[in-house]
Amino acid sequence: MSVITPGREAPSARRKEQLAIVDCDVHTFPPTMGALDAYMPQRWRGYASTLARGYSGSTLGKYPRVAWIGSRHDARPADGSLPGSDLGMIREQLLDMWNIEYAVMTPVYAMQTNFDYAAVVARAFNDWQLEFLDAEPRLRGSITISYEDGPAAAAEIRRAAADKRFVQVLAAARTLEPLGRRKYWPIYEACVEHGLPIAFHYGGQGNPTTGAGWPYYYFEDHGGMSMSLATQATSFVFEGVLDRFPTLKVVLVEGGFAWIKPLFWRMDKAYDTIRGDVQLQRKPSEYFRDHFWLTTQPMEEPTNAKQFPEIIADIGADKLMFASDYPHWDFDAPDMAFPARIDDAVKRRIMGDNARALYGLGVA
Amino acid sequence: MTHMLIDTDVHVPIPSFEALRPYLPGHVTDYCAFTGYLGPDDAWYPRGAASLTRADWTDNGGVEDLRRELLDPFDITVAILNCAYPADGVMNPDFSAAFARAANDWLAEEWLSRDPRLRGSLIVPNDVDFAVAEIEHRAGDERFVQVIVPVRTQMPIGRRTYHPLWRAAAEHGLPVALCFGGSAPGPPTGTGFPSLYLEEYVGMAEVCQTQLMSIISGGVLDLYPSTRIVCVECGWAWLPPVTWRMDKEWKGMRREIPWVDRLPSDYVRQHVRLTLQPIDAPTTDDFVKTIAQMGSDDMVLFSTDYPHARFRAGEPPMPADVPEALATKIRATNAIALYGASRLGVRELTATLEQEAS
Repeated sequence: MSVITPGREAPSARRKEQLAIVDCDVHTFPPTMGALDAYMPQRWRGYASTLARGYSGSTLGKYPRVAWIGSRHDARPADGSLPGSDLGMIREQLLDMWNIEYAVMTPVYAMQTNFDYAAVVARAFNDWQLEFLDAEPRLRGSITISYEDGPAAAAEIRRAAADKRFVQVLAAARTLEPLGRRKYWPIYEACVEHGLPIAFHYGGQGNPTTGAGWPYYYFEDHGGMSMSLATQATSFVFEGVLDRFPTLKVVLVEGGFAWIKPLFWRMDKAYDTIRGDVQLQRKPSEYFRDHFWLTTQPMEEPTNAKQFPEIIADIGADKLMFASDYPHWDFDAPDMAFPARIDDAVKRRIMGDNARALYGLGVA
Repeated sequence: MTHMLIDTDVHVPIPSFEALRPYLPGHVTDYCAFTGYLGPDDAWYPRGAASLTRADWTDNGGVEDLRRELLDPFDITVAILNCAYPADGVMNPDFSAAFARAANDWLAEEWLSRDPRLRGSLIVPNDVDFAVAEIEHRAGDERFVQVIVPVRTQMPIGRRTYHPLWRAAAEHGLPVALCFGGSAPGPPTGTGFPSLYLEEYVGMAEVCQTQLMSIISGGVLDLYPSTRIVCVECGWAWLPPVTWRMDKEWKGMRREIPWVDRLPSDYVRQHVRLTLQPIDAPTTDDFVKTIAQMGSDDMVLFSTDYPHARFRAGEPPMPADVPEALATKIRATNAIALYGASRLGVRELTATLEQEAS
């Protein structure tokens, strides 16, 4: 069990002149999955290591993940607990080092075959996050839900939302059905009720991860996350979620962002050509402006880095939010991640202002 | 300047089972008659969806319609016929092979023999051994200029299972066209079955992207370096982001796929081509910017996607204000470099063009 120590008085910033950063994707985790048992009713304790099944087995077991269980080697606590579970290390390697003003925790939970157990795990994740929130004021939480079970997920949102340090609802990007389908709508209803954005994050379980079956390599599994998020954005638009919930805000996490522009071009063109499938209130790209945000990690690195600013301009500087993905192997360091220099005003928005506005965080 | 326009994506649907019957072996037609089976029926382009076909074009026509509506008015030098016949959707591998062979015979007889401007794409069944056999069987007929595989295969197409197909295509100098569609029985997206055709349609671009990842990580291009891939009717505006994504993954993950010994974007620029229509980029500026982001103007091949409604009557198939040097490459140069002037039957025209250019 790692030790949680109170926050330091004066963060030691790595550089003198640094923006106050909001990091929108930080993977805090309990020291072990078993540690969550303490937050569960007796009946479910030990279930994770005995009978619990995922839809398609553990994704960790399918692909070796480049680095130690997908994390930075230096983020592995000495006592063998999970990366992201030691608040001291999180402070040292992230919050203090980079002048992070706020860090949004994203403990993604995806093995959800047994709905009763999934609801208990989701709730346990949220109760466990409260301890981190109490110990470290720079952290913010994401409400973890049993997203395959719409009504139960909605109930958990309504329970957890009372604590305003939870700034969004969190589900995985790879679901059993496209997220626009109606079984998921109770989730969005609860989000809207509480003014919480819904975030879809790298990961998930169930179907083969491509429209043409299971890939061989982590290269494909990891690289394919942009495509999974793209199908989800498509589903959200065409299945009418945003017409039904016009105030819903959607955050796409850990799939990069350059693909979003051509995706909405394609949706516009398709919607213009293929009539009679659905009647939307607006053309697809108009939903993008009002409803979608993306986090930056893994940062886009165009072959010609000079094209980077135009990519951001095409998407809109107000749509992107910085994320480091600490403690994962493909961590984006705030001062190293951008492949080209961008305008200071644009950078300020990406590094913090957009997230502050979306999540209602105090202005630096 | 000598005119040349090569249309790399023209659809000629097999109108009915009856049209195919003369090309099917007796034991297949007997069994079909006995069971009431009418062949594979998966419609990648749902029938009756009027908006998919241009109102002034014929969906189920013959050579005369094609000449009148496309070849003559657009002054098309060569047209490559992609028959989206879902032979891959027949689960019985012998039957899938029989239907694929019949479809190719039908294409040769009813189309390729009837107009010298026409070239064909070779349909293959879902079983890889039979697919190789079909390639071998047809390789002598130079009117077939590429192998066509629906992009939604049952498994990612870079898998070793498919390597014999890649080898056969490479040995015979045939590009492999990954075309819109596919009857693989799993969900058409990585997140399950969508409610609407629109989602499936848009998502075909994502399938195409994951297939490129599979081809590169699966070592296909290292094993068979003469391989050429044509992404047909899946769009192309998505290409730059997916190549950047692959480059970045490769930098972090090359230990996992050590045979991939250079940036994936290098492989893509060398081996991958994409057909023009549908053009997702909404303006010519976006069109040109996307090509610049690809880092190569050799990759896009002119296509009309006839008879699908990709551009309206009276509009040009490619925006008129695309810069001329780029437009010339798209109209013909890139396709000639890919398929070869002799295979397309344009050797003299090509020589004239080269003379004019020099």
